[in-house]
Amino acid sequence: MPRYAMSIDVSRCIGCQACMVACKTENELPPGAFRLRMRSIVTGTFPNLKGEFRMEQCYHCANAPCVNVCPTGATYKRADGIVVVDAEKCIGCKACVTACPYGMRYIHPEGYADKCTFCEHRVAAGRVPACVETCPTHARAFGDLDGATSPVRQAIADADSHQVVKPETGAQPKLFHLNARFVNTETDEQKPVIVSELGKGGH
Amino acid sequence: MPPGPTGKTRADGIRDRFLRGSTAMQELIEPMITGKPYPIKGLVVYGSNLLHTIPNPARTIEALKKLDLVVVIDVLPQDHVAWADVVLPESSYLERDDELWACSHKTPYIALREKSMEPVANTRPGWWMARELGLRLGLDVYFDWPDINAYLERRLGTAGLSVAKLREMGGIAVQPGKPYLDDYLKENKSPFTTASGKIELYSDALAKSGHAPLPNYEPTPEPPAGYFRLLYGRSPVHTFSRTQNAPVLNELMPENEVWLATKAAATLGLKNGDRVMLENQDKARSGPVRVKVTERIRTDAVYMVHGFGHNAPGMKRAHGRGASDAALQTRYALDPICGGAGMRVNFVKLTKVG
Repeated sequence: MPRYAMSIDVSRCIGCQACMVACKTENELPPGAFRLRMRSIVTGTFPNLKGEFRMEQCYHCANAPCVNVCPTGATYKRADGIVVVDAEKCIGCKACVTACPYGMRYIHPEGYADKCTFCEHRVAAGRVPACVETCPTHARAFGDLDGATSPVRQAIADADSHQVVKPETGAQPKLFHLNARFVNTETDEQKPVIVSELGKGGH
Repeated sequence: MPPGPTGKTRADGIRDRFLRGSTAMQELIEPMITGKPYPIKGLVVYGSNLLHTIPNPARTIEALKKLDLVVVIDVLPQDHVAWADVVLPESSYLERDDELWACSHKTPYIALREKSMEPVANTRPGWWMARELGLRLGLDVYFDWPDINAYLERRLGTAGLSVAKLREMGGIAVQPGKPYLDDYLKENKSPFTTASGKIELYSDALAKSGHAPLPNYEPTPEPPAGYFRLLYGRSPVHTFSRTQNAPVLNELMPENEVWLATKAAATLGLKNGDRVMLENQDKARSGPVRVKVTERIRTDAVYMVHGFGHNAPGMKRAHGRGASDAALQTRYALDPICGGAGMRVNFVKLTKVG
């Protein structure tokens, strides 16, 4: 049984947002809705500046708080690690939206909780998620964490560092940010700016 | 460049003012208005958003009004389309077979461009328009092929290829390149097309055509007090001025912002998110546009992403959003050798609105 995970090499991410467009198109999201979020972090004073882009989406946590609070069982973690929402069972109570410590869920205009699904429909067909396939700098990797030749395992092994955002939540995220300078170290001074929101588009 | 078949000079100066092979689209505007060196009666605009790509769009509109015929060809309607007499909508690249893509860089290749679907609306490919117009103008000799496929077969045939062979190769025929000096030296050749066969820092060819053989530095004017140099550039979300009205891209970036240095913002009493009108040294205005206070720019300049401030009402998503850098570029520096336009010579002041 695979244990699916994703990694993003932050040092390769150029903030082009192609992943956001690919995801929206692949998953036919309605106007205003995105499943990914881009955070821009800039630090320093002119001309000595540093920065990076951090792409964020559902981390398909191993100990997902959203799954723990769902009253109907609409949201659950599959054996392969992908956390999904059964839209038919979801009553739109928003408990999961509140419970997610990373703010990765939103309520779809049709009334159910929505989020990244690791493109499980593509995974079922032996393909990678749309965001992974489209990334022009090959910053993203996906696969079975336990697979000897899996791209995500290789990417994590090759990276100088790998981190999950806010490990103190205990949620055990399965999306790893590689070679990042500002994950878990960002300060007010660095003014991280959310460039695009989940569930509502635009700046 | 030698004179063309009519013996006339070209209105944009390509034959006599600038070096061959250059393009100087902005140099057509004055001739269209003044009728010198000769009157221009008609213009066919192919995939160029005239009102965002040429500085001083107000002057461009004056020029368009002087013409007897303006024909516009584009895939997506842009602001200049509203000023056309005839609109010929072109099929998108997904809906048309097209000319080969021949790339001669480090790894040269020839690539096939084929449609993946039939056009969804009443559009045609550009080659079809050119051919149909050509046949009606008695230019049959230049279009002696019935369709794009016949044209491609003939062209590929000269390289020992065919459409079917190219398809078998995955649509791309990669040629061996000659990226290194040794590739030339071993054939006793030089890759440099200069008379000396060397890289020339001092150019005899430029001297012979009356230009400075070594570039001379000319200081550029600084912004007047209270003004900032207007810089423009690109965002990864949008492509030039043509995608601002596209649904998903418009959601990601519906408007541009004017970047202002933190210290400059403090002096002007402006905060992040304030809306301002921009006015340049010639009193041209654009906006309102949001201010982005940032450390990512020097204090004597402001920056905007190019291609916003569309004012065609038909562009429902993009209409009125952000400011147009083109509208604020009423002056440009003209490169005397190749006719290129340097547009970062305009200065703007910011006035808060609302």
